[in-house]
Amino acid sequence: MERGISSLWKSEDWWAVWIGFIIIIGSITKLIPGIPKIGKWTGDPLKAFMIVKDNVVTGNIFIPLLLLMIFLAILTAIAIVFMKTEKAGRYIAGFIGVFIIAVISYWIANQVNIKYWGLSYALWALLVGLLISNTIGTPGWLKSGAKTELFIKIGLVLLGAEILFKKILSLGPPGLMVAWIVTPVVVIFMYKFGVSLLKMKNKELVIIIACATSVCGVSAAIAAAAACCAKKEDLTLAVGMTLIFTVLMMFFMPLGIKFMGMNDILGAAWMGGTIDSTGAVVAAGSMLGPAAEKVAAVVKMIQNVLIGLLAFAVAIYWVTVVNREQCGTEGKPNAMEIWYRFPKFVIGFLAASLLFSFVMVPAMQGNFNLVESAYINPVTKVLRGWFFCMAFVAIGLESNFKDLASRMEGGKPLTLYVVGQSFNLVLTLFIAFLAFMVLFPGAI
Amino acid sequence: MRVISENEELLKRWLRFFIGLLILTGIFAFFSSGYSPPGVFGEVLRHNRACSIDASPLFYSEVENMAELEKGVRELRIKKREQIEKLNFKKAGVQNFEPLP
Repeated sequence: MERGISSLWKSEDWWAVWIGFIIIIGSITKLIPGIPKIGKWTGDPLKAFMIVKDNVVTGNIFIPLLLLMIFLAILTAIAIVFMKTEKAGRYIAGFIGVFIIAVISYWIANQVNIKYWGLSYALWALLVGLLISNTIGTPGWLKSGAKTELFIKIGLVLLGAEILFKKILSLGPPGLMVAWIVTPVVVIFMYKFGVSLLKMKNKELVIIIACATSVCGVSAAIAAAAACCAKKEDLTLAVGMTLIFTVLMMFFMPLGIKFMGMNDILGAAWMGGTIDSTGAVVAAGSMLGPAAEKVAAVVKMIQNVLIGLLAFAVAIYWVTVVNREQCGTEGKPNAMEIWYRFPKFVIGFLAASLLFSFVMVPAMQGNFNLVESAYINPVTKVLRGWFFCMAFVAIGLESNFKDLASRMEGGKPLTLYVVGQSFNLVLTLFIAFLAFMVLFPGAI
Repeated sequence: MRVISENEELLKRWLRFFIGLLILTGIFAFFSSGYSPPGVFGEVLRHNRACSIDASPLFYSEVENMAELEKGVRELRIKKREQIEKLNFKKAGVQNFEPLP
């Protein structure tokens, strides 16, 4: 671990902050006007690369994609050179390979029918990476470009820009109750259950599964994994489980709610608080009607905002408690030690969120939509997606099935997910009933 | 002799890769085909297709119509507040109801 002033240009955490903020400043100043993204397609695979305006093809994104690859390769290579973790030429060659696989993963995920199933780019990026690493083996030159942690941390700093704190009030007190009371209780319950009752040795895996289950699936898993410096295989396992269960819950929860004849708004709040990913929440909510779709999506959005605080809390807990237990150190750590061990990218993550929540939004007269459409949607959000996609490619390229199987500890992670999610379902339903039906029946 | 075994190992690896690729292509073909499970199990999928709902976003900001959904919730809350106010005015015997700003 780098200590002292040199950590500012030698540590990965600080580089994630610098690169994240270069992009954010580029977005605010319009020096980066827009980032190309792979489009949706149904029957014609090339349509994903076409620019369509008013149903007319006006161009393609091949050159912009090439420029994006060069831009990201140079930007991240600067960090690699300063950190001295790899030779620049070797890194860039590997980065190009990782970027091309990320393009393929996005292209698969953007097929319209696949989107209806809720199978996101994260899954396809993992699968393609795993296919290579577990068959022909990841070649050394490709591994040099697979900088999982750096990609994740830059992605998380950019994600901070999307977390606008004032959005937590969108649904008033009942929304806040469902999203913000249940979530920490479920995280603590699952952590205690995993560590104390299931006796899982891998605490990092426990907290990743707990955060993924209680907050927002993949995004929360990434944030928690980075905050506690978990192994790639832990993240792969947690993400795999959350993606499968999200699809199952999207399929069966609305049917169950309809079958029980539950109030639509209550059902929507229940699904918003429990189904892991937002897309699946919108789809499931829509099954109950337009009002339910809106309520479910907004409950999930309020819960999503928690991701920053959660990452901060996990980082602090790991630095002050878990790492010291693992090292066998006794007594309280002093402030300097906490600072040295603290994952600094979390500061960038929170700073980006605070900048957009309390500077950019007020500067735009409190208009969230304007901030989102001007700065977040065209630049930071798209780049965050690219970094996460490349991170999942890199995770796949560096994981092997044997390691994954060894982390199953006789099915304990699955037990933890199922028990935790069941607890989440019961508690969320109770609090949603209390909030929307008893305490604030006139809220919506 | 050693060269042959290395070649065999390489061949095995590539064979495994192509089998894996075939399986992945099969998974892709299945999900992209537009198939939906019969009966209630495929209800959500058919609904997503009918209403063009993208179920893949991982985070709220990735939902294309999130701004509309948020606006919808604001409108629902205003409507509900107006209903409650109207009811309260009625109870108090006020005839000409004007919703509070």
